[in-house]
Amino acid sequence: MDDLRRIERTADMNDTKISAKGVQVFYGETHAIKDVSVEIGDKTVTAFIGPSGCGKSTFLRCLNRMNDTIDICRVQGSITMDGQDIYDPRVDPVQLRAKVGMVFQKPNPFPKSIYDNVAYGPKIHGLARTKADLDGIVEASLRRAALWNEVKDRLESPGTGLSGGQQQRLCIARAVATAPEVLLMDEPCSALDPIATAQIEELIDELRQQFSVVIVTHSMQQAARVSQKTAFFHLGHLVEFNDTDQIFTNPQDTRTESYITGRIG
Amino acid sequence: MGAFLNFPVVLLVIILVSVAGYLLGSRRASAIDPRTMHSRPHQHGWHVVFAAAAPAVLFMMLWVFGAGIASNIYANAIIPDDLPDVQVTSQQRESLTERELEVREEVLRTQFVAGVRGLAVAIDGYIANGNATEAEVDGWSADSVQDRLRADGQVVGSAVTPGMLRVVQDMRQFNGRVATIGPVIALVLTFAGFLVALRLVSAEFRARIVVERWIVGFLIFASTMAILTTMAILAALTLPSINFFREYGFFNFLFGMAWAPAGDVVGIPEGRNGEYESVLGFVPLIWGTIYISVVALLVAVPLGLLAAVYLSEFASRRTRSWVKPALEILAGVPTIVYGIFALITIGPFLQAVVGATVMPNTVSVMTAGVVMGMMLVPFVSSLSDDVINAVPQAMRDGSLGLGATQAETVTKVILPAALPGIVGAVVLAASRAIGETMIVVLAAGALSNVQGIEPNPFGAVVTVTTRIVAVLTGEGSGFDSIDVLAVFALAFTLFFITLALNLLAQRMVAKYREQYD
Amino acid sequence: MSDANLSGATPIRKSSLLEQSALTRKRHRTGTVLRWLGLGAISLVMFFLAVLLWSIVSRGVPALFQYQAQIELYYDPAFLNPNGGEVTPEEIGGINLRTGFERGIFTSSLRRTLENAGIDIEATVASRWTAEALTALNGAGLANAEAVIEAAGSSADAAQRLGQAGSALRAAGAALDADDAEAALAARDTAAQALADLGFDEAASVVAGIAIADGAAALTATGYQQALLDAAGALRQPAQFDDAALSALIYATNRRDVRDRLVENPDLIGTTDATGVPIDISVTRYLSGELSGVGTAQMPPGFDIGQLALVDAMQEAGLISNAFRWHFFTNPYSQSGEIAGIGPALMGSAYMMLVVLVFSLVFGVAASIYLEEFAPKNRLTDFIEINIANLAAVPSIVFGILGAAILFTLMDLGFGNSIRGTALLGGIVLSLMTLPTIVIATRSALKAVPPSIADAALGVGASKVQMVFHHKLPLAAPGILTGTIIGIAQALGETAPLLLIGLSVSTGAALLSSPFAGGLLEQAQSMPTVVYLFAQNQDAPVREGLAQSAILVMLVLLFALNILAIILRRKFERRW
Repeated sequence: MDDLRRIERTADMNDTKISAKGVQVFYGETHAIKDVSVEIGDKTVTAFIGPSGCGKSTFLRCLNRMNDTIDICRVQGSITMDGQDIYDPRVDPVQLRAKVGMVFQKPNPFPKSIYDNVAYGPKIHGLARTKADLDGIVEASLRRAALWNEVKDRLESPGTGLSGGQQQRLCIARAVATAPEVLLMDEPCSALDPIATAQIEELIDELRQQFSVVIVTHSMQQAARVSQKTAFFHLGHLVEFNDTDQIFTNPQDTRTESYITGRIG
Repeated sequence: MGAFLNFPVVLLVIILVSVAGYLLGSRRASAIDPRTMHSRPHQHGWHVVFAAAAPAVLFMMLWVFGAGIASNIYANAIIPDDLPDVQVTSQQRESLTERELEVREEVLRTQFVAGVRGLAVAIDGYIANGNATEAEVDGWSADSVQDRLRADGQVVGSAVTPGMLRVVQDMRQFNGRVATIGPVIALVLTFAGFLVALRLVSAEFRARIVVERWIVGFLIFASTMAILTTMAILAALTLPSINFFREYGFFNFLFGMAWAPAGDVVGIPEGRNGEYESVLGFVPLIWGTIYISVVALLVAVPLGLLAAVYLSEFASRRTRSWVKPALEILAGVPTIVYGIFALITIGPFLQAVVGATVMPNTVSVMTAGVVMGMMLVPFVSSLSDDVINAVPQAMRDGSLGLGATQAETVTKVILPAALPGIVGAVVLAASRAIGETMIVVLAAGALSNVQGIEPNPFGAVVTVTTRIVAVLTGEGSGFDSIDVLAVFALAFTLFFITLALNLLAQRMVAKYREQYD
Repeated sequence: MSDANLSGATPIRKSSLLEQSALTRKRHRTGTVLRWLGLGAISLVMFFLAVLLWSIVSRGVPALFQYQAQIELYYDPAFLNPNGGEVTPEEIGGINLRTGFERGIFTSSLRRTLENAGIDIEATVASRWTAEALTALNGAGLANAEAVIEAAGSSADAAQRLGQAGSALRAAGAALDADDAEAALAARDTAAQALADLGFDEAASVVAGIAIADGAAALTATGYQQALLDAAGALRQPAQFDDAALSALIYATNRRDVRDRLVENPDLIGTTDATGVPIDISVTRYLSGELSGVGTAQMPPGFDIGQLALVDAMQEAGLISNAFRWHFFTNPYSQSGEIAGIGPALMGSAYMMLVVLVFSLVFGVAASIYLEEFAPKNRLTDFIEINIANLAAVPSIVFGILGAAILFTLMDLGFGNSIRGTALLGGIVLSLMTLPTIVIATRSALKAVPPSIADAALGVGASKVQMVFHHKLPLAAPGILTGTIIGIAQALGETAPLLLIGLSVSTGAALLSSPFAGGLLEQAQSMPTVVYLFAQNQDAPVREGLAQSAILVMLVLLFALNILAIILRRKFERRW
């Protein structure tokens, strides 16, 4: 692992942002997530790794209740955010998702202009009172997504016209524009080339200063590069959850070891 | 011989020969050592079948068609030019121009030939009933023919003159000869094909290739049916329309503000100043058509779109499972049923609501428009449904993941994304509304004469399609009437309007689909 | 990245997840509006569908039943054999249908049947009219009216006397408006006297008390004149009741059949035959309760209350039954709703579907196979594809125009009339319309067969034709069949093109011969065109009743075809 770029791990990991206890997820008859408990810290990048179909994306989608949109999906157990149960019947998933933003595997900009893509969230959530406010939010979000310099002269051109990496950064800008507290990323680089991937990874590290970031990835190197904590999922179980360093250098579970050494996956 | 040898009998013989050919051909081939053979025995059998049946059947179809034409040409040819039946009386002759005289004589001739044919049919029926033999008919005189045939219940249209009877007698003899020769030739072809193919059976003969060539030939012919149909439609619309535009004037038609057919014969304007008495303006008809279509779309588009949005984004699986079949039922109901429903239920209802002063008749723009709109709802909703479902799930996830509500996702992301496809669906619906016939025939109004345009949405209007039906239903007068030609011109414009809309819609939908494929 | 910008994007919002913010509530409310709009649209459409179906079923089903008068049909020798002695079939055949059979047999049998049932026809009619007269008189305050009418003896006499009094009142009214005061007084008193003579003393004194100054208006205000004239009119009616009025109640539908039967078997003369004769279709609206029979607007057109009184009496005597209209499915269309049917139309539609099936299946499948499997990718095939796509969207009436043009051309060539309005022509036009539907369905069915099967067949040395006919076609058959059935169902309901090629004739279409005996070349009707005819009928009960029955039959056939398609699809659905 010496060739991997190490990042400073000085984040304040004392605050727990999201805490999941005994989470079970069912898709109809299929038991997709089996008794997963995990604590996600604030201002930390947490990586979920594991072989395909292990449930890491499913679990991620529980954290902002995106699974609600699937009729046959049932979630049991408790997930709290800042101490509040997000599956409480009083919780409006709409409000939750404003606080827990999400970036998807495939860049999915809306067929609108770059500006409108970013302004969409602030507009629906009423974050800007004036046009100037909105302009400010759009610019700040695009800057934060390291896209501003590339697109500032063509904010009105369609977001779908950007390159893949740019599109994904646009989606990140779109997500951060609603001022979330947590940012969920579902394999954000899997559809991108290595250069775009590097840019996104750099960005994730910067985002950590303000958000709690949860990233699902199938690339162990990526997890090692960007995250402070890593959770290894296998067949719906959370096998091991620890500091990233620990997981990659000194795994406790043999399955984790098999995975990171490439024997399963 | 003629009585027994007709085409149904020949068809039966052909079938029998084909069956025999298959059996004989395959048996003959079975006798050869299979290892040396190119084709299998049953392929040889099929080859015999094709060789025996195909040319004979093809010949029969052409012969039947050709015989009818030939009989007509023969009848026209044997009409003596000085026959009083086809002469304009000398009295009338003086007041007519050269051109009018020509047209009149043409009409008289056509009528005479029609009379001849009718009489021939009646005599055929008379003989078929066993009342007389061919020979007796040849001896008939003109004055007794009519009574004789009527007594047998045969329909005799026009008065029978000696000249007509003579032509009929000649024509029937000609027809009789033609009807005998045709089947004989067909039989000869059958047996010739049968024998030749049977002789061809050998180890080297590539029966399969030949049979497959026959089959592919037929497939190609079948696939050109679409082109033939389109060409036939174009010819059927264009030729009479051009004739009409030449006679009546293209701009007189296109910008004419009144529609009042008067039954002039083509080439003989009966009005003063040498104009046609029929007034055949397009404006009032297209006005009615567009007015009703707009009302229909105002009903169908919001309802269809909302229904599609609800079904694809909000409805539970159970709701979908019974609403969708119900919409399919609505889509499968024939338009005449909608027309009658409009006429007897919706029309009186609307009249009761708005009052008889505003709505003097139960038929009106609204009556037809509202019902047509309801008819189009399933059409719009199923097309929109397709379009909405083609918006990738990633769009929905992206929006929901940002904390948008379902409704915000629909209105701000999905509908804008689907807009080109939805517009395409609306254009297609407009094309259907413009071409729709039975609802407007029954529920829009049946005035035969209209002046100008009717602005009242509760007033009766006429449309392009109602006029087409009104003129062409019942006993058609053929291409002789200027009104009939005008109707072809109406259909011509209708065809091109709908074609343009369809092509436009297809392009829009195709472009839209490319975006997400 | 400046900090100033960043702070703008991250307002600190430490709000609880458990509380909905005001804005979120508002957003959800807006969302609910869209949901309700959608639900409303669907409900409206479903409501429309329900009303549509209900309007068909609620009218169509009752119209399938027919009110019939149960009549003892007596083959009366007095009409059939007036001269006595041996009667020849020729003589019976020569008897006038209307006077001889309808009046002679049917009407007199009806009369006889009523009398046997204890109904006094004249008295029934008269008492209803008398009641009507009494209502008029009592309504105007002419007390004692019953006694007055009774005193007159017969209705006719009463009518005359009441009429005279009414005329006297009318004359008085005219005189009161004139300038001559003396004449007015005299006329007023004459009128009062006329009333008094009749026995309307109270009314007489009212009239006598009218001042000249009040004029005719005061007289009119009493309503006596109108009541007297109305009553006189009503009392005059019974005398006018005759055989024609009686005969109008029933539709002597099978008078022709009866004549034919008697021609075949003259021995029946003198015998009696119990049979059901349809009640006139306008009267059935009274029997079904659709028209109350009170007032002009509620009266079956062409009938009066005297006839309705008889109908009531017959119903009470159990002489009217409501029987299923079996002949509706076999009879040809007729202007008379009592005997109209859809027999030839059902046959015509069946024949046309046969033509469509053969023609469009053979050509449609052949064309699809060529385009899908053999056609090289070139301009010609592109052109064919565009053609098919556009033909599918051409308005159906254009196909009708094509049919009409073919017809006119053939007429010019010499054999148009032999094909006009036939099932063959109709079938061909419908086939051309259906062809694109079937081609599209067949091609998608062929496409759905995985290429691996084709490769497997070609791999073992099958020729391309063999591959297609041995492997692809059988696997695609269910899809093709489903598409064909749906295409045929569409064609079955298609109306406009058939109107233009002469399939909507109201007469001359009889049951067709077998297709092999030239049935395809006989004048035909089709289900939708006969529906159109029913909808154009002059009688409201036919337009609103039988038209719906015909629609009902058509819809049942359509649903049956569609359900067949669904079953086939379910049964043979195959996922690769």
